[in-house]
Amino acid sequence: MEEKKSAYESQVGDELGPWEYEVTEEMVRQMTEALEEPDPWYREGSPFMGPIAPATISADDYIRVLETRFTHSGAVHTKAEHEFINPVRPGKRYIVRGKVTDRYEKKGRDYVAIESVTTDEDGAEIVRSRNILLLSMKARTEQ
Amino acid sequence: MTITPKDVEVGYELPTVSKEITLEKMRAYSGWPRRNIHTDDEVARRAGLPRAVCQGTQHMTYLSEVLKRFFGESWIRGGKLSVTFIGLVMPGDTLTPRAIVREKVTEGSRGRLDLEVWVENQRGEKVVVGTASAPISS
Repeated sequence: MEEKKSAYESQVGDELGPWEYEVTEEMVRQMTEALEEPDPWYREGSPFMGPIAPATISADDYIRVLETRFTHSGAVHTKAEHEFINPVRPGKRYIVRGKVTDRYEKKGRDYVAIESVTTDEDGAEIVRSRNILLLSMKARTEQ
Repeated sequence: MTITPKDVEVGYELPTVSKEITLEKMRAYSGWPRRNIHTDDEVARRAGLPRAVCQGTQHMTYLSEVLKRFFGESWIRGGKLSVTFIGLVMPGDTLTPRAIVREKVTEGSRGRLDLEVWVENQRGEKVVVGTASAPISS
């Protein structure tokens, strides 16, 4: 297995993933309890024929797909854009594919932009995202 | 009377609810016992932060849930959210997500609401700013 590089070594165009995971009922329970979110859509049923997960359960897919190739210790999330297309349902598997679409330095700090798409096991698109990571709160001269 | 997305006009503020942030909740959300800048003060300090900070997606989710409660199905299928995390959130903070309609676009029986969104702490400081939109239909 190829050794992972630091995200500092990522380049525009680097393909990320695929990263696959299952959303379980336990994951949904843990998330909604952590958020103190009692919505019955997440427990009993919804207009989508069965319970669903909060839309942002996929919000961290970008970091997981980045981690298929790069490490990112100390990185801070600065921007997030999400387009929610279909519900996330417990009991299904999801596949994330991404790409590094920008790398830049600002005030001595490195940033990486990641675009990703999450689809379900049937091929339906779930969410399209673009996220920006600040690779370290410390400027390069401080590291 | 229940207010629905098609009923509102520009300037309407969505109902919201405040959330108290604790290290316990941060750890529950961010995968404790996994140690990272959101769950462990020492890891956070080594990264240049004052202590463990709330994960951006956690307080973004508080905002998403306000929007989902208002828009319902059309948030899950058609919602768009774009945010910038501009402030650190730490244990002891209380966050209030806020969303105000800035534009209403209608085409026959369909359209979209565009909103200004943000999350503010107990001092009224914004920690997240951005925009959101979702479809509306009769």
